[in-house]
Amino acid sequence: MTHEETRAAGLAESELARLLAISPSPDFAAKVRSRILQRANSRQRHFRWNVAAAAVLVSAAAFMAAGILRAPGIRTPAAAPVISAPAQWSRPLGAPGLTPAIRAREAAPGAVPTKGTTIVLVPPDAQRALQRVVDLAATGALSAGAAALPAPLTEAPTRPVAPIVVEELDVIEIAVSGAAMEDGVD
Amino acid sequence: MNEWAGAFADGLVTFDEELEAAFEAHLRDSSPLVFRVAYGVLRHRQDAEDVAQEAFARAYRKIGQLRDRDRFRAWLVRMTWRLAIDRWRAERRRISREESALTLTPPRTTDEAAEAHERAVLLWRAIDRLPEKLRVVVVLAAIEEHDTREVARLLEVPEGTVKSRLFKARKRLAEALRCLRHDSATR
Repeated sequence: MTHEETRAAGLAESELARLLAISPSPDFAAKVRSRILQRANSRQRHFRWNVAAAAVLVSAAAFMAAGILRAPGIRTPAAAPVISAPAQWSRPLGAPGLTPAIRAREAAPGAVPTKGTTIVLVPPDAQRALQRVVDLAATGALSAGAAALPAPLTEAPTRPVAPIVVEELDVIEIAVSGAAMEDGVD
Repeated sequence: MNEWAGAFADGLVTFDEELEAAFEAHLRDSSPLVFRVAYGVLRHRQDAEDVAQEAFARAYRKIGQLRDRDRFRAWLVRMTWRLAIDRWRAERRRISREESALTLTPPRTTDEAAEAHERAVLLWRAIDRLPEKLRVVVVLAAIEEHDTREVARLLEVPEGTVKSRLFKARKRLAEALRCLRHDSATR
């Protein structure tokens, strides 16, 4: 740098220092605090809006999922209907798998069959018939194998069977000319 | 459990109070510097205050990460410079800024005012011709008469780099001023 350049640069620097020797306004710090507070409030507001939007989205998704599952043709595994049996129907005596606790719970007034408990519903007539079969089998008067298998046929059926007569058919001869044959198929 | 929660809450409160106090100290000490850095780029008082406030508002969120006072100050200065440059590039009102900047210095006489106005316009034009790396060194060195060590600390570069850039900047500034004066004289 020449002497002239050094002098010019020095003058420029001092001029620049003079131009930059200014201070911010007295309420500068207050404005900064106000801006920080505004940012914090804005962030809180945005956070709340985001949470609300997320909640709405989740609710909408759950609602749509429920609607799809309830559409015809789609069965939910947990929605098995509970059948209320007529009052006169009952479980056969000696049904296995019933603990005293279950019996007590089901005997309570207004109790409904609980999920997971096997219940066999038997009409009164069938229940009596089954009871008789069980009693006969228990006393030995009824053989289970004999009851299950049909009895063998020892004699011919007594009902007479009429013989089948087949009558002879009359055959009529049909005369067909050669021209007619040619007009038909080749 | 309640004791632990209470101690944890007390710790949080103490931490926040410490950070608040540190930020208040930074705000008190660095406001003029940050404002002048912004003003050195924008040359408009309101715009410079706006950029400086924005820089402090952003710094408030990072105060927990930069607890070292010197590093925070340097980081704040660099961020202010970047924000001011972005603002300066986005807006195209440089001539009005230069004119309004001159009104801040109260003129003593009409001749003095005209002369100061012309000098300042030429100076800002010459500074605008400098590359950004040289310009920031010149502006920071002119603010509060920072020496090269202080400028190096603010820019987080070696002091030798600052000296080298300052030398180049002075040379280019002198050349630019000479050219600009010659152009204005021939008009």
